[in-house]
This record gives sequence, C-alpha cells and structure tokens, in this order.
Amino acid sequence: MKNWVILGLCFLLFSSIFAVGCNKEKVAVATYEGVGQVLIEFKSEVESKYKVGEVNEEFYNKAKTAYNKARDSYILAGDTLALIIELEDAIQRQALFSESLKHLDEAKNIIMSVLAILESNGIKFEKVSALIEKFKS
Amino acid sequence: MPFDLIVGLLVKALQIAPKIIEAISSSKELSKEEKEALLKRIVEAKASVPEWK
Repeated sequence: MKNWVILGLCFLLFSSIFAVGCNKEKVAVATYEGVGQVLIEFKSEVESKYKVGEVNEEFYNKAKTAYNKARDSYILAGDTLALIIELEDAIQRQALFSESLKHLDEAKNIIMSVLAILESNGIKFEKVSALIEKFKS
Repeated sequence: MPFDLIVGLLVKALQIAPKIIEAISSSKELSKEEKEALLKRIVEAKASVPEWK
C-alpha cells in the first residue's frame, strides 16, 4: 500500500514539473510562429499558382487583400504578446492573453475563409492545408 | 495506516493535483533571458510575414 502512496506523490511531482516546463508564454509564442508560417505559405502558394495561371487575377487580388488584413491582426497579436511577456502583473497578463488570442484567431479565420473560397473554385492549396492540419494537431 | 485512510488521502491528493499544477504554472515567472529570447522570436516572426504589395 505504501507503494500506492509513493506512486501518487510521484504523479503529483511529475505533473508539477511538467506544468512548470510548459510555460503559457512559451506555448503562445510557438503558436504565434505557427500562424506566421501559415501566412507565409499562403502568400507563397498563391503567388506561385498565379504565375502558372492556376489562380486568376480576381482571386489573386482577393487573396492579397485577405493576407494583408490577416497580417494586420497577426502584427497586433505579436505586439500584444510582446507586452504580455514584458508585464509583471499576472492579472493584466491574463487579460491581454485573451486579446492576443483574439487577434490570432482573426488572422487564422481570414485566411481560412479565403482558402475555402479558393478551394471551392477548384484551386487546391496542399502546402497551406497541410500546415494548418499540422498546426491543429 | 488503515487501507481506507490511505486510499482516501490518495484520492484527495489526486483531486487537488490540477489546482496545484495551475497554481505552480501561473506563478512561474520567466527569467530575463527567457523573456529576451521570446521577444526576439516574436520580432523575427513578425518580420518574416511581410506586407503583400
């Protein structure tokens, strides 16, 4: 029975160590970088498809507008995240976390909606879709 | 120690584990070096997403 108690205490100890290792700010920055990669890949894939005529001018311009809009949200999310890291006050940090996530969500949703429009018109974005899937998992 | 007491203590410990984890993780402060490294990564990530002209 003593073993069970030791096992339980070990569980608590390892859980605590794990929690300390997975700092919120570090996870947020990794997420931020992931969204950035999706944006970069989106731009690159649209440009290369436009060059070979797979994407027409109308869709190209739509994608470009959406990208720049998503980028604005992305930059805002980055500024907020930088502020969170510099802040000492935990309550203020928590409030800004929600704001940063909101901006990141905006950026992601803009790109997702344009991707949906393009893909519904038969234009496939394998690399961007693969990145989004990787990012989701 | 009686069996029930040990099991009871263990169950209690497991029940409060998430609270302990939350408290520890939220109280964890980043060191100055860690903060600088994260800020650098943010700046690099921002710069890697250029405006589409």
